[in-house]
Amino acid sequence: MESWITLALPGAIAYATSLMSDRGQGEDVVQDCVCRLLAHAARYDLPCDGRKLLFRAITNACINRPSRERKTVSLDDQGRPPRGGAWGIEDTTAAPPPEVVMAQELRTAIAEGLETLPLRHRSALELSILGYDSDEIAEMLTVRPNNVRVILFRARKAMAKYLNARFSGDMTP
Amino acid sequence: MNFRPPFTDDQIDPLVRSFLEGESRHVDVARNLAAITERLAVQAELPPIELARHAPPRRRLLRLAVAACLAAAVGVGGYLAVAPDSANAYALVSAAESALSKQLDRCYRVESKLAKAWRANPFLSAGDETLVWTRGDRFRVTTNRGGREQVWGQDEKRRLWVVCDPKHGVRFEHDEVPQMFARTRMYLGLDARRLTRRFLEHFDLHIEKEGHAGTPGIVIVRATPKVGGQAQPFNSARLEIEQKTKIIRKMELTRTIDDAVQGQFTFTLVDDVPQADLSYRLEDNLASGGEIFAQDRAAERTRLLRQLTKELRRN
Repeated sequence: MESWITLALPGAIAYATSLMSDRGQGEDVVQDCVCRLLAHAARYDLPCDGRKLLFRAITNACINRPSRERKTVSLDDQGRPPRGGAWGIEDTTAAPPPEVVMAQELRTAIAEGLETLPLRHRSALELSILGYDSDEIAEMLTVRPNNVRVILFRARKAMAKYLNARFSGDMTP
Repeated sequence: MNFRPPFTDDQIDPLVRSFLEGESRHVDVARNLAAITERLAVQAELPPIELARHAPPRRRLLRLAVAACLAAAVGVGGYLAVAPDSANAYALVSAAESALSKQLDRCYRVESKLAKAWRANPFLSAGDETLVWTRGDRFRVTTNRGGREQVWGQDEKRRLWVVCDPKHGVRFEHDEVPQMFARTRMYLGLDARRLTRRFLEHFDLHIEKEGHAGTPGIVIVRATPKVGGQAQPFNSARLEIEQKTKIIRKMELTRTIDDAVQGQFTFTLVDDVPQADLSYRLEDNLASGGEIFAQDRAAERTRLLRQLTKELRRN
């Protein structure tokens, strides 16, 4: 398999999982997009542009994918914390240190906060964090660069508001 | 990083970045690469997609228009000669879907041929005998392995359940089915209505002529995935549909990779008499006082299912 795929895969799946709110569907989207890119490898310089094209394809696929599709959960995933790090059942025999609990809570809150954002806002915020500039995000989301900046502003505002509401004063180290 | 609220807008990017990095650390790269390789192998079996040619120069448009008219005239004739089979196949499968939506009990006997890699999933194996009872979206699968009966199914709320032993059963909500069962349900579950919808939306359907002569009253429909369409769990299917009642008498689902059959499942209708005492709910398939492990006891549920899977593999 080409090295750019191996390198891009973890970030791409994390991104798709966040957009789809489901690890199984995220993996499915990424696998599908990689296959489609490779099918048209002759048209592109994939070692150079592959990562960017892959994220563009994932963005389109996630936005266009019908939300009614079935979610699945891997049995293998059930032994470790779900997205965001919260355990389903508390292990009372070995209580984790407070900072670990705090970090897990924060991860869960970020995951849930991202899910509250409209898909385009979530996508723009994560693409920006992954290093894409406004022009590139605008191209991927088929909006104007100015709109991207507005979307990003609103997404950050909404996330901060959500997190502050979630931890309203009762988060102790 | 400051974890203390209040969070400012400037802190969102580092927080989300840290979250995404954490998520990407949990990605099983090797498994995903293997899945991509498998998908590419399936794609390689399909004929290439015809790409649109460049637009012709204007001066040739008139000649092309004339040619197109002639081609259309010939094409209509060709369509009348060829298309009815295809159209009938879609109509027939559509009618079969309507027949299946009726709340009637039907029982299919399942035979399976599995490649070595697929035998690791014990629920896919048909054992000595596997029977699938189905009523609309509900189904109940019983597999007999050396005298021991294994039962699992799907209830009216589309919840998947498995009987671990007469006193214990596990149940999954419709949106939390384990990956192992996602595939098993796809092949063995015989949620026939969903399956026929898949045929109608994602497969090319054709009637096999020879079916008429061999078995009067039965029409054989061959389904192959649409070129360029979504990846499908099986590469071909063969349906024997009773022309009069539109009931699927026999169905064969085949998954091949590199011309090697990975899994083949044949369903043959053996009974369609209404079953008054048949239940598709987990409660009714356990002994009285049996315990159900559902979403609220996820860890115990996973442990029970793993234990059952290990036992079945040993047998």
